[in-house]
Amino acid sequence: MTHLTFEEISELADDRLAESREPRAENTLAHLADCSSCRATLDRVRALTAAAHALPREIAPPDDVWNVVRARVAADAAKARKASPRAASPWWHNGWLASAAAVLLVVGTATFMTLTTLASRGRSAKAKAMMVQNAPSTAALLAVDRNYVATIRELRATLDTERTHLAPATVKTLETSLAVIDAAIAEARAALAADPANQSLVDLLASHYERQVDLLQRATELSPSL
Amino acid sequence: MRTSLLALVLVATPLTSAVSQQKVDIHMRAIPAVSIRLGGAISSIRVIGWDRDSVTLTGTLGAGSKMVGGPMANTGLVVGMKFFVDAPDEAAVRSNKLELRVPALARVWIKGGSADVEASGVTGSLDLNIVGGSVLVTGNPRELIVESMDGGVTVTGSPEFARLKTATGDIALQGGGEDVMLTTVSGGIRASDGTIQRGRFESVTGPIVFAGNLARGGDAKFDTHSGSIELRLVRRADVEIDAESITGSIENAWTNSRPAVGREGRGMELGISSGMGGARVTIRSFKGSIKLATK
Repeated sequence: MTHLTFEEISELADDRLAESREPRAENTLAHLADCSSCRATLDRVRALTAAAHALPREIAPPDDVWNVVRARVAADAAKARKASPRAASPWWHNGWLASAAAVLLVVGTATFMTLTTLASRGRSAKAKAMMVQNAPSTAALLAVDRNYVATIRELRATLDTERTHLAPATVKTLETSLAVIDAAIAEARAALAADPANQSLVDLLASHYERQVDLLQRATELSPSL
Repeated sequence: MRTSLLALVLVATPLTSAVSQQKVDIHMRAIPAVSIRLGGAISSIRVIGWDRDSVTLTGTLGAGSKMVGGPMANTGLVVGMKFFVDAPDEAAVRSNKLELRVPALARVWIKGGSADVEASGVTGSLDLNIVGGSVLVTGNPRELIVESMDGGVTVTGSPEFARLKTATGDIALQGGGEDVMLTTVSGGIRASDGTIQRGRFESVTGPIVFAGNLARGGDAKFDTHSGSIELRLVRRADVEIDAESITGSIENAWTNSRPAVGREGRGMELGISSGMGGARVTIRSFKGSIKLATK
């Protein structure tokens, strides 16, 4: 079976193909109806697009990073004033310009890290592992953590509203399993905090989160009384 | 195909609604890739793929149960059917037992509560979703998706594409597949007697046992938090193995390679390249033990 190309998946995700009158549109939709692998890829791309749209327009750098930048800029400015208080300073010794450049750098890095993390959620396991592998710092890991946590919180809220419609035995199984995953996540996060560069821990933590998201999604899709 | 689907009309007809146990007996001619959706309060259902261009749905419904739905209209042959079974109480659910015969290439979707689902001979696709009970699939469906909470899942055959998921239920794959993914929270996973091209096996606390074969160029990943992982391989398998346990142990009874102590003096790591190294295996565990053995 020949799977859909990335371009076709992208067109589907943007709803451009559905509006197209090209003959290939029908073949593409027919393949999609038959192929769960391509449907899963499309779902991931749509989730990624939605997550990207949900990104804030501005991302503030972490407080500790901002403090370091501010201190460094202040120190450089003080050094320049002391060395030549009346001399015409080069532009990069100008405090405001340096601050602006530093902020741009930090915001750009934070945006890149966040986008990298979101992108990694929407791709294959291998691609995701590679993306996470390239994440250079704890900040990126925390971003992964935050993204999953937000999704899980939403799913839990949905589940809470539907819980009374589920059979007690189902609720019990669900709660037991969620508690097991919660414990595993807590253990993996604690280990990761102590060893932030450990890629295997990142993979395991992501895997636990995926299990939890998957379980919650399935639970919210259960019919009443099941 | 899309045009014809748009023209379909679902006929919702109460088929049964008597006070005593009733028989279900539906026979219809259908296209080979007919799409069947069946859901609701069913205690057991057998799905049989056969070499005929017809669909039959037979069985019994308990007192007070009713089944709504019917075929999707088209010119002559049925292209799709949809049924939903409702029951007034648990006793009635226990009496709701159905048998569905479909063309082998059919696409079958079943969603039940505590149901025993048994499917055989379907080479099209199966999408089976239960909470409790059990799922037993025999044969080689092109696409197989099974989701269960605490029901066990057993597959005997080699689906091209398989996604088998449980929360606490065990998963057993006696066969292979081109692209298979078996995941559970605390159930056990066991894969054996077949060749895997691309496989992913994940648990949180459940044990994982793999005693199958890996295709040349194949790729298999095993992840667990605290469950044990055991790989049983033929002695001279062409495989590259990269195993790591963060705090758990690794035992290698397959080759002479000894695992090394892991990062920061905790856990263990083991890298092996055997034979031509044709397949790649990655094993990750947080604290579960990892064992390599000869089968």
